[in-house]
Amino acid sequence: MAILEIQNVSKLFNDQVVVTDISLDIKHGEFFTLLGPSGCGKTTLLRMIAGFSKPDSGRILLEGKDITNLPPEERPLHTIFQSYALFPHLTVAENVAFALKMAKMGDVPKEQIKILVEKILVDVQLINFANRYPHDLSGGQKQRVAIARSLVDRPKLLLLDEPLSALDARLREHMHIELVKLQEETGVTFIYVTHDQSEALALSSRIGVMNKGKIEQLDKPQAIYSKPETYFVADFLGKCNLLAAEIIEVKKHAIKLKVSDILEFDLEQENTEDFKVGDKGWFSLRPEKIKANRNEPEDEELYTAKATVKGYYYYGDVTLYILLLENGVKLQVMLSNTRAKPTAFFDEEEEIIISFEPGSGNFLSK
Amino acid sequence: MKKLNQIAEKNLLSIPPIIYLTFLFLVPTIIMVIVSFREPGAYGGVAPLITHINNKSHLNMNLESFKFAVFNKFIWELLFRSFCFSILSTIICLFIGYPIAMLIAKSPKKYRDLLLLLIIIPFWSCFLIRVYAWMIILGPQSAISYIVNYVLVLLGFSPVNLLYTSAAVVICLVYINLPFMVLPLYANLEKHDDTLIEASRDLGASKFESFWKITIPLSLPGILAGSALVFIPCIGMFVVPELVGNNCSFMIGNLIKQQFLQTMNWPLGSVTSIIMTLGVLGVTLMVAVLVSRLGGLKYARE
Repeated sequence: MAILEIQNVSKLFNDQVVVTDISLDIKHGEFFTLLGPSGCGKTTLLRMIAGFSKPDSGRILLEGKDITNLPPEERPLHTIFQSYALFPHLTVAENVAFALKMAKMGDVPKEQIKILVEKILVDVQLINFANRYPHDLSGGQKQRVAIARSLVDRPKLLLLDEPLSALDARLREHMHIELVKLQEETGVTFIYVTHDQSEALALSSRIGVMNKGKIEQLDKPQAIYSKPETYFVADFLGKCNLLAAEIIEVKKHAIKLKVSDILEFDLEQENTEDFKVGDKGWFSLRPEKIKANRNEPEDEELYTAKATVKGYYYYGDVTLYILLLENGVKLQVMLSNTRAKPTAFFDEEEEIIISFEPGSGNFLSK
Repeated sequence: MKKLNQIAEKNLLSIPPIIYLTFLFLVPTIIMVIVSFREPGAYGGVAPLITHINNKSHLNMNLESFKFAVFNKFIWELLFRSFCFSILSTIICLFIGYPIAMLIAKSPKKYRDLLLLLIIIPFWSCFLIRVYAWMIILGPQSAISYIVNYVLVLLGFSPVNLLYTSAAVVICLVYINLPFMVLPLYANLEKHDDTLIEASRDLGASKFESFWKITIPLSLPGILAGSALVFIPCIGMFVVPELVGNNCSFMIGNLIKQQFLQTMNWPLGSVTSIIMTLGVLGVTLMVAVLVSRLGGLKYARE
């Protein structure tokens, strides 16, 4: 069941289209992420859901009710801002109680406010900080106050605008776990906006990848990562080899591709009706899907090719090799450092054999 | 030796203000306090500190001027009126100044400097000339006077004179001091984070509730600074009542000026000045205590 329906929403700023005719259904209780580079319109879309700006066309429905023109205070949803936006003149407890005191649906009795505030402060482990002011808190604590403040009156929807971008990496990972836990406990639907692809993959039940005001692909994290549909999605999420490709034969359940002018293999497709010979595009292949060996592998399912090692980046858990195919096309290969010796497998200028399952890649026509 | 140098270096910058304050504030204040205990001279000023009568030296210092001032109804009346005028002017300045400061703070960045300049422009002409201008604006031949009296007559009241009234004094006090309210308020409001208002709206507060619960408390330091900058100069003002007021709108400053320049009773003038200063201090302290009682400005350190 859709809790939020976005119907054909567009927005212009100074005659420039920021959000282009987006339609989107958010399901009840899901952790939905809008992922995209800065300036892709994701924050604009979020602000229209929150009510801070109005769409130039289209409608936004919350539980079937049109909220397009409601002011923010009348929408039963809350936002967590990038800067936290805690009220500096109020204590942690007063900050958290704000929404309850402002409650439009009848007054919440004082004792009830106290109980609810204490409960949520226990949940975010800040009960001992109830009487502190925001400037006394660390970044992570401020973040938790912002979360408690927005969840205390159980909104129908929680919008999170890059909420973790101001925290350091370790704290951010910790907050990932807490966010998912809180979301499961409260059952509140989350709409999360971020430009951090690993964050999006780790947290979300569904991801909408945005580019230039449009949603390029909308799917589960696994599908977004392993089956990107466009060049932009493949390129934006993680590392990806994007090799020029051309269809040279269309079969019933496969298309034959010529990749980088020298690789030729069949790529299985359920449906080949949309393809025709001569179509040009890209073949996307994740660096970790490629194996590299000194000798020819025995598995016949694998497609193999010769390559030369040009250099590598050692990341600790993995090593990223830069290889050149025979015709000089660059290829990235990621190998796990599973061996006892922490050194590189291959030396520079060494000639090796790479192998991959064609099915682990994708043909992208746009 | 090294330590001494460090201390000297640290305090070097504070030497000019210390000299300034010592010679132009501390010393005059001490002189004023001393004069308040002395006897008025027969022809103005102060009597000699020591007089010799029948070979006996006599020290001319006493509490006579204080006694006179404390039991003088007129001084207290003027002081009370000065406070009323000043408080009223401060409140009016706040109500006019707050929207102006808000408007400048919320306008696009490129226009802000221009708008601030417009606030400061009146300072380019002499204070006296601006009060004279108000004498013309409020004078019997002015358009405002005609309009006000036309309306009054229509409503069945008798016409009034706008100039030489207490109202004229308050109008001029407000006019003269308004920039001192706008500037600190602007400095405060300009720093406000708009996201806080968005957060407040998002959490269910209407526009008005957000203004009342977020903007006003956060601008309290600006309100207090502006109010102090308006209130304190208002109290001691004597030119404005003299030019646009009447006998019933004289303020404590007029009395002090009179005692020094016309009656030539310096000790009594000094005593009146001291009473006025203590009054201002008292009000300021009261406000400070009230503010800290109400939750204070604990967050303002940020």
